[in-house]
Amino acid sequence: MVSCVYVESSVKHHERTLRILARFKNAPVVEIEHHGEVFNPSAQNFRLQKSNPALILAHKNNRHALPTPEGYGLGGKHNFYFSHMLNCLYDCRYCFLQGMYNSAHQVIFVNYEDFDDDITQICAQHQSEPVWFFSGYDCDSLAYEPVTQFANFFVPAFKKIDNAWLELRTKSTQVRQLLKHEPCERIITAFSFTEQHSHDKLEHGVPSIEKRIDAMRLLVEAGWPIGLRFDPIVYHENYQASFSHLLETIFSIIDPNCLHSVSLGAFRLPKNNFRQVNKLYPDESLFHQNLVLDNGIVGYPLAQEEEMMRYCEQQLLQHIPTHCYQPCKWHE
Amino acid sequence: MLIWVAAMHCEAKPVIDFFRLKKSHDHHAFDIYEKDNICCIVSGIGKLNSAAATAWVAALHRQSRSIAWINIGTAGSESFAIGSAWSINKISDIESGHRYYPVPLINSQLPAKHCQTHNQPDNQYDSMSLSDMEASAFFSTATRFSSGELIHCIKVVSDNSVTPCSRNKNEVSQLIQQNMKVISEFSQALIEINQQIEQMGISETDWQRFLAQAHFSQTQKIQLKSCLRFLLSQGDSIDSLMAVISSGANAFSIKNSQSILSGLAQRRIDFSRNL
Ligand code: SF4
Repeated sequence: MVSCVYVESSVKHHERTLRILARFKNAPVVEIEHHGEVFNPSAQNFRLQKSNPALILAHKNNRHALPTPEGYGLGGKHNFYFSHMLNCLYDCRYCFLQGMYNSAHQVIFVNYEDFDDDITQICAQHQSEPVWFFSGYDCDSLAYEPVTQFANFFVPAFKKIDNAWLELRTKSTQVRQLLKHEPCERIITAFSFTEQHSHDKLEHGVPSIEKRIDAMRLLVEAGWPIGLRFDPIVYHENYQASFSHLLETIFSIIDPNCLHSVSLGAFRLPKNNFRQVNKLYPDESLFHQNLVLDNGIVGYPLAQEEEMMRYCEQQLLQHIPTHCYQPCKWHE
Repeated sequence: MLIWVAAMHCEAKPVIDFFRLKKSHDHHAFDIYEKDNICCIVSGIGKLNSAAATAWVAALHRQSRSIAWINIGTAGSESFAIGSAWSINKISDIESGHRYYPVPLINSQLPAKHCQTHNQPDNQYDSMSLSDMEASAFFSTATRFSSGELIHCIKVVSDNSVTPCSRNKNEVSQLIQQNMKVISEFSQALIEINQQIEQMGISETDWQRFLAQAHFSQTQKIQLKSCLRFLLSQGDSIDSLMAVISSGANAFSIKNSQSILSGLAQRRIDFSRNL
């Protein structure tokens, strides 16, 4: 259900636009010149819009794939991100997207072919070396799959480029499209989890932990590589027991030897995003915990963070092989 | 606070009658009708009047925690039925070329349309949109004071290519009057959204009470407000927080800004320990 669909004039006849519009027959359609007209004005309230978002169908003109910020990646040398979508279907209170844009509307850039061209070109520049692309930077990669058909397009596109690696990052259970394709070792679906208490309190609209584990299982059984992202780890009095329980639940179903990579990181937000989300959600406990500003990032005091990471790491390494573990060390 | 902005008295009358608003005799720049948390201002026709009235009434209500707005009025159209009511989801200012996009209101029973705002009455009706003389100026002015989700326009068709614009004020009022049920439901939904914002704030009077406790720097004021908004959302009341600050029997009995802030900060960390 979307409140309205805004369509850029330049893509109103695009085949992908027409297919998406056919799914939202009852929503009013408003033609716009450029998505920035609706998405960028400052007089918008992200929190209000989040409960009633609109969809914006747009054309991305340039900069289809960009180098990732420093520290983002899985140890590869060449790392890029690309966003076919801005904003997310879900509403995680720790998500940096809340403070990123003025608007909570969801933008879909329908010109996937232009993204594919840029990705092909970047890979050609690095020929024999692996090049990583991350698609879950400005959105959840798969949550809107029935509407976007993103994986359905990009899985074949990545398969044909030998040195291209793709991380699909998701909290969704939308793996049906992936399962229609033959698995590819260079396309990793990374599932993010927080333990049950944080999930209940902070991840609004996100499918249950059990349902996501089941989606992972389906991919593993079909031969797809998967990853696990325990990021963010959020402090509460029972986080240790709850995190251990999460690991037990996951690894009672998922064979750790099928994992491509596992990463771990404590809750943190860039200073400006933190300021913004705190303003939007003054009633949110997470932002009133014992947090400090360090190097432009708001997070737990170093000693507390180290203790949390140490505990979680210890627990994790009881389940997974060390070689696939990637701690997130933003302090360095 | 919900503010209605109408160009003419005959367009405002159905709103004034429906909400039983009373004329305010305190102000003379514009005619204003008020009751409780609802206000209606008669701006006069045209963009300039609409912008001036919107800004003026916003300044008048600057103490309000949040203002929601509706521009109510009549509009022309090529073929839409006389008396049909529309919410507006796109406004094009014909002279400046600027475009604005009011955010659709959830569950609204009013169908939405594009509205073109002109400097002069427009006899060349556009087949896809309504024509008026205020919406663009109203909207762009109101966004200086409120978030876009709280600013809406409702237009009732008064003339089309078959029926010319009526000069009879009673007829104009009647066109809006017959839509007041759906218009009032729309305004109620907007009031509810506005209340969500109002509840997140702290009233000016209460804020001043806290500020009077010590001298706070600008940064400390931001920290204080953030603390108070959180603690109030967790069930603390203004009086209980004042009592905590004022009482000698607590950890921050010396009343300087830093000790007040650290006491409140500790309290919010305790509250948020378990999310
Ligand atoms: S699923 Fe990811 S992108 Fe979506 S709201 Fe949650 S953290 Fe943000």
